[in-house]
Amino acid sequence: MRIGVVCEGPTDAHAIVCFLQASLTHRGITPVFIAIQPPMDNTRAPDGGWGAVLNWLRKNPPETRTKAYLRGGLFGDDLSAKHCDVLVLQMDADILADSAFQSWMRRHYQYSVANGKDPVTRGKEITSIIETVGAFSRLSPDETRRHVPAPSVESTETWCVAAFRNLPVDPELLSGSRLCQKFMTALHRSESRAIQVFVSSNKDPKRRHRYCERHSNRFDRLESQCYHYLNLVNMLLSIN
Amino acid sequence: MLKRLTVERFKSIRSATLELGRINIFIGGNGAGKSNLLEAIGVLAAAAFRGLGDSDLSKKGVRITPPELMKSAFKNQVLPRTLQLTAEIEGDVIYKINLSGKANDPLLSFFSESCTYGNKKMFGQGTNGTQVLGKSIYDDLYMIRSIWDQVRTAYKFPTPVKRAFHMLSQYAIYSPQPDFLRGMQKGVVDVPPIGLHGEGLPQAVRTLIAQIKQLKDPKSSSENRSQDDRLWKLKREALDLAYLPKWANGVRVGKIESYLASRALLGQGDDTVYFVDRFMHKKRKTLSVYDSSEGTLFLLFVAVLLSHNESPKIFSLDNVDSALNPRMTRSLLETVIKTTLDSVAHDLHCGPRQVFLTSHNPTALDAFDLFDDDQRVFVVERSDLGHTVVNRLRPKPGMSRIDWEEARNGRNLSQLWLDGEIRGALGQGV
Repeated sequence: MRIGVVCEGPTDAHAIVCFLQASLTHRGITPVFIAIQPPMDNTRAPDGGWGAVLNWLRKNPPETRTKAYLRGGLFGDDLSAKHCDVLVLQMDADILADSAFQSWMRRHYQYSVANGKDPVTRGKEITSIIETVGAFSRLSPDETRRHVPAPSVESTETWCVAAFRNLPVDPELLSGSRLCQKFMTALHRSESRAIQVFVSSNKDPKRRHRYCERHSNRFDRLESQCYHYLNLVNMLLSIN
Repeated sequence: MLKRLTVERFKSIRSATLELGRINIFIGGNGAGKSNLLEAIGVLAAAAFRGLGDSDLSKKGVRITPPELMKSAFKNQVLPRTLQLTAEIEGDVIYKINLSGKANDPLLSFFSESCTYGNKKMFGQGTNGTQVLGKSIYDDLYMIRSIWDQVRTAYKFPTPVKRAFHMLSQYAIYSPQPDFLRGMQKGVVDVPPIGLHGEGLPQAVRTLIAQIKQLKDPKSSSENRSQDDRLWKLKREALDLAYLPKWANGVRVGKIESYLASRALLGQGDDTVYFVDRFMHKKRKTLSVYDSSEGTLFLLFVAVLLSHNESPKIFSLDNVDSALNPRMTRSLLETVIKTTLDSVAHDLHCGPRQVFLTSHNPTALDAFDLFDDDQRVFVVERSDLGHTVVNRLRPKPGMSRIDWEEARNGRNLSQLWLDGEIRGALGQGV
């Protein structure tokens, strides 16, 4: 299964690729991941952000997306490196409370962003935003099925935390400094480094890749604790 | 024109067949095997010209590699006894050579060689001896010289066969080097107008300028004025390449004032190419090749190759983007494509008929129209086993230009290359 990955930034890409690789391989599917967004250059906002995903959707309207990626790509003779069976469109839910984001959605799409409380509502809202900006209404039913919104509630760091150990609370309820502390603690424990009070999450792509690769074998923990991750896996299974 | 090339067991190419166009560019990762493809044609050309001696190969720009290393030697595979190259040339002529070389052989030698024209065998050499136009030859032939070279004057071959060999034998791989272009390093010009690395640039530029002047000389009688006008335009457009960087507005050949000549050139006494810098004071505006930009020299070299009366009609230019910025690379390629297509369309006696290029600069692709069958882009990559694999880059079958516009979404081919959309173009590991 060729999975095109459109995500916020490089650290998200590592989480998606490492964990989905493990989950899908376990179910007898051989995934091939195609990096579509983020782009290859290094001049960009730190770790992309919601703008990277939504701007990609705006710059690649449905007709372009399907022709360039879902219908065999641009080139003959199997030279289209980025032809995909499915596009995974990842976006963090932690952006829902951001007033700049809310006003951007209102200005461009007359869309009122709902900043719900429970994880399921928040995941649904991110999905709805991806569908709106991605103009899913212009896609055929088959094309819609092959566009898979992947809300990470609250972020892909949640997936990293959930794969590390079983938590007493729903990890999708963690946000802000609590999520940061949990993630950085897991990262430091994983690397046998001292634990301290952390004020921000490390975004080094190489370090994130090492972490995700090391803990991807515990995809079962991630699936059992993160509803939206499991939902993503199930959607991909239904397409295969 | 070389229509189809089949390469078997040559260096990194285990087996590949290429359907060629007028202008062909090979792209791909470093070490993918692009230059090996150019050299495969070079070996065929050396054979068609004379044979397989070191000097024969080096005149074609083929690296002098020990014969044993010319054959593919992949691990876990039996070392082949021979390598085989086949050229299918316009006019229904097929030339096939099978070459052998063992560990201590100083040179490759012909194991077998054949040429067919339509369904008629022109000559052939195999285990049953040598036959030419249906007659057996009992004389011993030199094993490092081609049959063609040894019998062509003694037999009456059909004109298309002679044309095909003449065309193929002109081929050479050009890879200009700054030291030769600047006159710092001397070398030989095996075949006029210019050496493979840029040797003899002043003489080549001088004669090209003379050719341009002659075409506009009212005293020179010409039977075909419109053809002369086309030739003048072709040469003029080619020479304009030297002005693309916009700093020079004149190119001349001669001696320059000693105080304007670099110390490195003093004492040589030779004529030199010099440029007129349009921004400089009139007494200081003459820049010798030594002081000129490398890119400008490279553009001048290509101008000679494209438009000099004596330039080969078929050639390769390895690393066509040498020392050029992205915009220059694209403009250069546009001129190469236009010159070649014009020369073919109007049957001009100068200008290339077929060109092979390699490039690592994505903007080289922006000069190409993938929907035009004359212009072909080939992606060269290594398979999992390390074999060189060549695929033609073309729009997906059934895709119209309108579909293409929609799918590429404003991105040039260069952007698609950089975005990693072209499998193999960025090399391994991407």
